Amino acid sequence: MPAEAGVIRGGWEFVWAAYGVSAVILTGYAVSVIVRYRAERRRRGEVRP
Amino acid sequence: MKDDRLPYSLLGLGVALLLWGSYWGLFRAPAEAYMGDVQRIMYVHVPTAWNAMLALTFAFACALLSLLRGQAVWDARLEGALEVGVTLSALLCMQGAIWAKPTWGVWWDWDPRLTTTAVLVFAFGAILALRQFVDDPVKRATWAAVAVIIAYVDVPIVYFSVKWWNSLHQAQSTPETVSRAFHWPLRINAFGMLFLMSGLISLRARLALLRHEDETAPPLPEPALRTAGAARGAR
Repeated sequence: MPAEAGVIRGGWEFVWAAYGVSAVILTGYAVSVIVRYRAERRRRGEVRP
Repeated sequence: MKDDRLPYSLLGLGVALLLWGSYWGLFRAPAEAYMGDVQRIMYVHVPTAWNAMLALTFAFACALLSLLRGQAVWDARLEGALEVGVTLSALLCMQGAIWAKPTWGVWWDWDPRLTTTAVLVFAFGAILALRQFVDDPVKRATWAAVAVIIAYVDVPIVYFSVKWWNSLHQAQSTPETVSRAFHWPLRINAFGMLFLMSGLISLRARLALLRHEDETAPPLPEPALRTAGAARGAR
């Protein structure tokens, strides 16, 4: 099938890159917030280690 | 200490919705007529944009309330919303660069939308970083609130930049500008990101409040043993 002008073919690698970057950053940030919060509460003796 | 079930439930709900919406967007939604499969980046990029703006709008509201009421809780919420807003805005720029390469042929362009978003990341990121250098919690809350109110001017500029100037970036994604076939995965991911953002802001604000309580707590009395030892030495 001939390529049409102005139409993008393929590009799944960019789709996976965008979803991968989003997953890594959101997961990493969420883990960092939870770890910092739990460490602060543990330091104050509010939660068990 | 407040019950932590609400923020953790919001995080769980957000992750579940994002997984569902992303599955729909990646594997069930049709490809777009001109951009093909690359357009599937929209299902993660647009919800990130909406929620980054929402987080910074919440930071702006917290800044106003912090100045008006002077309560530490509003400064803690401001700090939480600011950190989450900056993280989402930085992620937004990365997703945009990845989408720009196959569609515009470049990773970055000094287009009005992209430039104003970069200014937004640096302005709010600088406020977040500079907070660390102010030891007095009252002064820190006051100047951070004033700085957030000034920096917030950029948020409507980012939103309307594609209308006001001749921009390479497409117009705002709304139900009128997006095909009905793409609505559901976009909505599911938008709500997923909203719940995730709310849970993260809530936890981060609680952490800021705990640190504020430590900063403003009166100094602990000297241990009784040390006092007794000193008294013996003086005899």
